[in-house]
Amino acid sequence: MIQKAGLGMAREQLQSLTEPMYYILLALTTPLHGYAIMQKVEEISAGNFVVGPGTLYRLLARFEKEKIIQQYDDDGRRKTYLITAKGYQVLLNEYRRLKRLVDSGKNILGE
Amino acid sequence: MSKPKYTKRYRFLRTWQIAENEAWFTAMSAQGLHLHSIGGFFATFLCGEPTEYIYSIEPLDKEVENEEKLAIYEDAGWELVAEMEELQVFRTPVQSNVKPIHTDRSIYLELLQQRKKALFKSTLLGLLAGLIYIAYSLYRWPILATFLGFLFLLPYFFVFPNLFKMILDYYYLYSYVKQGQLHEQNKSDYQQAIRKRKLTQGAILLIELLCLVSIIHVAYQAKATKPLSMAPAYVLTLEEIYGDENLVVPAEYENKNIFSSAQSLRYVWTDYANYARKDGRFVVIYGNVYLAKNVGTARQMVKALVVHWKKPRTVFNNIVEYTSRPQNPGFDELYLSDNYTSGMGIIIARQGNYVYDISYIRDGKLVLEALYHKAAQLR
Repeated sequence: MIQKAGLGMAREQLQSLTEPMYYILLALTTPLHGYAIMQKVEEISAGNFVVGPGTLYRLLARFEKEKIIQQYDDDGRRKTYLITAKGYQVLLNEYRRLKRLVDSGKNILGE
Repeated sequence: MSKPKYTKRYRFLRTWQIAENEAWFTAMSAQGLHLHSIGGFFATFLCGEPTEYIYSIEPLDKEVENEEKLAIYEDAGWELVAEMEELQVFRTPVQSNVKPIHTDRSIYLELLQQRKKALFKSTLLGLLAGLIYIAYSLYRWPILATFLGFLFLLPYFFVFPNLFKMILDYYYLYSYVKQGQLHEQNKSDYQQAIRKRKLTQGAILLIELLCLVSIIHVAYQAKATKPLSMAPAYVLTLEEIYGDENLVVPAEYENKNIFSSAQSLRYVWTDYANYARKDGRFVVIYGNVYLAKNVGTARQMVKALVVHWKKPRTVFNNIVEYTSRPQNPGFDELYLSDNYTSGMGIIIARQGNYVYDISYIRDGKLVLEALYHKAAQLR
């Protein structure tokens, strides 16, 4: 029952990614291991967004279960991950959704 | 280099008081006592220089490979300090610019929610097992209770506190998950939480102690005022029922005619078995004679014996009171199984503070008469 709830939530959230999910998937367009993902997220968000290790490992486990990312290399304790084709599609959909949102805002707010 | 010095502190806070525990560890580190390991009752601290640390307690995540998780934490600057069955404690120096473990709190709360559900299940099962244990022992132990008086309550003292602690543990996790957003506030209130725990713990200890003292007191008094040191004056033998001349005790039965005496705080009793042959037929009498401290305890014993022998798995399925029926030759109390004349029946009788429990008898009428005859002489 717990398992089901977890998966359900993941699927639901994958319709629209949360901020940490979005950034982690962006970072994983190149193969990276755990801590490197945290650094990359900080880099691509220009320091505006950080992912803590607790949040990161839970999300990695969930993504892997959902086959959104896959293991790229296993160097003992530090595993390297890379986004899958399915994950790339999810990320692209989210990017387009966000862009639509921003464009709509632009028309009205005009910033 | 000098040997590292450790010190132990009693853990007043329970495991799932997460925020309060974190605040406690931080405060100890500020005094130069750095968490080293956590046990069931104590936490061990390493003595050193006062340091400002942030502690973070994480439930162990069984779905995820621990080594990989630890590598990520380590790289991010969080050091694993101590582990318990269900928890891992991490720390990092305050000034280190390290990122907080949970930047997305909803994920953390989801994890705790899972632990809560699992704990709910195990608490419920534990409660159920505890209640079944209590119910079963209440059913099974009337005889034991009769012998031992209050002492038979002793095992409950292991069951009840444990049940209480289980419920308490669940309560703490439940309330933490429910008010997860109050994490920081709970942290600043940790000293109050410790005070509360000290009070609760003290109250539980006091109640346990009082119960124990009262049990010991009752037992001691019973022992001090025990009027009984002799075995019951007599037991009913086959000779008295059938007459000595009618019985043959073959050699193979001689060693089987057993008598043994025992005493408890409120009774002395004799256990016996008597075998012989009469007119070529095997006859037997199994008996227990109890001499109770007083008539009141003798009455309790009668009740306990009736309950005991009424168990479905014994052959005496229909035990009925005969005290005021014509079959009673004059006992103060009398219970008989309905097969007491026809086959292997049972007689439970009381005369004064003597209680007779004669089972697996043949010729029940003869036995009853012989028993009453002797019992009346004893008065």
